[in-house]
Amino acid sequence: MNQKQSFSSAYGWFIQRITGILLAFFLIVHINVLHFGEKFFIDFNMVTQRLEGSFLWAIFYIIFIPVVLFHGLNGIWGLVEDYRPSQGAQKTVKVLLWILGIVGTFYGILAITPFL
Amino acid sequence: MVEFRIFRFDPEKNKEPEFKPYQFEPFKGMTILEGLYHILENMDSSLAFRSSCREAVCGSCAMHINGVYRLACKTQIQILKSPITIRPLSHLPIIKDLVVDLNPFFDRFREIKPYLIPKENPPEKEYLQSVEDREKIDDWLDCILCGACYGSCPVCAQDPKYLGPHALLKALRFVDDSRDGATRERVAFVTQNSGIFRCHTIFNCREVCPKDLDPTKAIAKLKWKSVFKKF
Repeated sequence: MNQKQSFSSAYGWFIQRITGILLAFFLIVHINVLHFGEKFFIDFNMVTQRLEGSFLWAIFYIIFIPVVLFHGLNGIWGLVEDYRPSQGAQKTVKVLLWILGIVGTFYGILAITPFL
Repeated sequence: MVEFRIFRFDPEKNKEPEFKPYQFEPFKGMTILEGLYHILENMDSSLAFRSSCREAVCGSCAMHINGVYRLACKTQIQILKSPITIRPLSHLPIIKDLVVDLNPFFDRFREIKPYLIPKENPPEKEYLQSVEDREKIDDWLDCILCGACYGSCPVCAQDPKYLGPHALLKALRFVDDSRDGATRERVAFVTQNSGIFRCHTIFNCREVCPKDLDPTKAIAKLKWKSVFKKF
């Protein structure tokens, strides 16, 4: 038995569960407001009006963005692992997913900050 | 009258496997294994299959019977619909007909060191354990290593290095054992790339286990232990 194994996948698995639970809440609110709560046509003005009217909505999306990105990208990582890529390919995909996650989170939050 | 459709393949002689039909009159309560012996003794002596104890203890006769991995000795013909299709265990090289090479299965099993590694020098007489401590491993003890869980697991099909439900269940058996001194190493080992986190919680292993064990639950327990390190 190799005793020097990493525990990082354990935390990835655990955070995936936590973000999954959070997503159940976020998605119910998000889909309910956008697709059932508002009129049939959704445009940029309607979204900005809602965000301008409430500080809480901005906070809601600032939390929602990293949660959904982590859950989605970590899910992709799980799929990639199923195909047993080589060590090099694993490293490349991991770095790409991290970059995508960080850039996506930064860009998403940047779009929300004017409404704070 | 019952019909067995049996997977026949000899890698040294045949290019393709085939399903060969055998019809016979079963007696009341006849098991699949008894049916296979009936064919072997009266109809086709070239048929190959494994068996030993004939009472669901040794785990030798696990095979894929009418869509489910079962022990041939524990399954009565009368509960199944004829024709009864019999295949060998999946994800393992075929030696002949229903006999598979179990080496990959046992190689994974050996990797988790399926024996007690004592904390200190073992006592001279008995290794005492409280009733409460013994109860902690009750759920993980009865595995007969038949391979039904391994055959039913799609992750085992995809990743030959995946430790598999049988090895992970046994790993928890020692992790939960109060006398074992290698808990941290065991949990660290099953957390590796081809360990517990490759399990997709599909529950196939739990569905097919002839001893009603729950490897999915054991793997879930190991996952929590690997996160919180409570051992």
